[in-house]
Amino acid sequence: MTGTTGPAPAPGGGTFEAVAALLAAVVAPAAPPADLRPDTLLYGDLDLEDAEVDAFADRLRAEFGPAADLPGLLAEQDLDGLLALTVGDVAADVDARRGAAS
Amino acid sequence: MRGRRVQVPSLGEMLGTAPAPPPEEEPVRRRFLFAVPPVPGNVAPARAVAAELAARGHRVAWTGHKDSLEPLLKGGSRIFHAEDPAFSGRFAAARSEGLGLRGPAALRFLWERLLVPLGHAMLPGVENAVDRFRPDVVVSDQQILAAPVVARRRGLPWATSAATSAEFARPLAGLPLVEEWVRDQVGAFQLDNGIEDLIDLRFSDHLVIVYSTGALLGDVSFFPDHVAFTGPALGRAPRGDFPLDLLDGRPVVLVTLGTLGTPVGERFLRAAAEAVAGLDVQAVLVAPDGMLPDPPPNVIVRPEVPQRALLDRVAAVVSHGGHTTVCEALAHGLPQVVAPVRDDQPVVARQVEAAGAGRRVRFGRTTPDELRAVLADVLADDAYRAAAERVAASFRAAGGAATAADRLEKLA
Repeated sequence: MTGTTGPAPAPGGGTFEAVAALLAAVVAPAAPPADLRPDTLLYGDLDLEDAEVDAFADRLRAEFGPAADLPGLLAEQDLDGLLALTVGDVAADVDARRGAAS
Repeated sequence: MRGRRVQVPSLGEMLGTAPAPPPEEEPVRRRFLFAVPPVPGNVAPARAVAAELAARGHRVAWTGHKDSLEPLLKGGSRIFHAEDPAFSGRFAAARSEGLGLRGPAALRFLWERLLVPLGHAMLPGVENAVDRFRPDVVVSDQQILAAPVVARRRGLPWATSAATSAEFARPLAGLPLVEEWVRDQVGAFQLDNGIEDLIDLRFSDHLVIVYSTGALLGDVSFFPDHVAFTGPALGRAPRGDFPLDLLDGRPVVLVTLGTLGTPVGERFLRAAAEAVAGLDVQAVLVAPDGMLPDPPPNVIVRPEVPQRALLDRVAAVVSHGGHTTVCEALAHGLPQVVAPVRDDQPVVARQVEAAGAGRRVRFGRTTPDELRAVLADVLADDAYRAAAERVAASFRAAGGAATAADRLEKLA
């Protein structure tokens, strides 16, 4: 996992915890939710696979509704953006899209 | 060159401006130059097509890294060396260095550290090969950037040999900025070599040979006629020994990660051995000596197998989704479990799943239980085998190496 310091503050209130729990289920049995931090990199740290990205996107939609758009977030990234994408970024994007949708 | 924005026509635009196919002509003795990377999966289909052309009386030569190509080609093959020596060492080191990478990092590595430097390193040698061999047609592996540039400079017709069909599924359509970045790499390579009239060097506008069919790829009806879906070009099966008397009549599952680096595959292969231990099958698992010193009694571990011969005896294949392995197994009508690792493999895995011929599983985190459940399903449900047999029938109808050779003859 990333870094050695304590957990960073979760962005977006409880959204991060919910997103981390969904992701932990997708990457099971590798990472229990406590291991997932806001700055955990989706690709650099977790090596998220195609099938896992698909499953994560499905779970996000099921949890947060159609405004949670992981493919949309990915589509906005260049290679540097993809490599720097964190669990916290996904949570923040969920909040931003839900805010925009409401 | 990085950061320079260049305009490369997209695949879609190119397909819209495809030239009409040349008129039919009597085949005559022609000269074909194949440019390939030192990668067995890329060389294999080109070798089958070259053998077919040679059998029809045409002259064939190769250009690439001579020492690497010699063991992959028929003895006595004419090979023009194309790679500067300083680069060759770096290329081998870079390939092994990149094996641990996956996803976006692997894609960046592929272009920045392998394909573009390989293109530059091969260019003088490919020019020399063209000047000395005087081919009527240049056949360029899709990953070789140098050969299309040389063919265009010399005004020669050239064909793309697409060892994997992944690019024809537009794998980066969901990542438009990344797709554009790849096209920029191709464009920058041409600008570096003094070409201003940029095309996407991965797709010849004369002939593109794709070793697959619509039965696996999905709808291909919108591709113009110069994109030929020939099915796999299998050629003659390589020889090898396997003690068939070890097989006791239970269904056989072949587990192979192809030429993938074994340290990368060790965790998966252990999980696979544990998964099949709980099934009433025999597994032939390809792994180096010592990796699985104490396999379950129904698992036969061999460092290598004569894959094509063994497929006649197999009920299902578990693989990493290498295009050659997957298509060889599909040509035998075999259902599959695909655990893609990198590059084109996730795309190939999706194709297998979409065609109904198997299921996709995770590579890095698959558990024995997960793998056992999926494999049991693929073995038990006849629908997977029926779908694989439909793909096999489409491969046979497409004609493979013979069709590819027909199309190349028309280009010459």
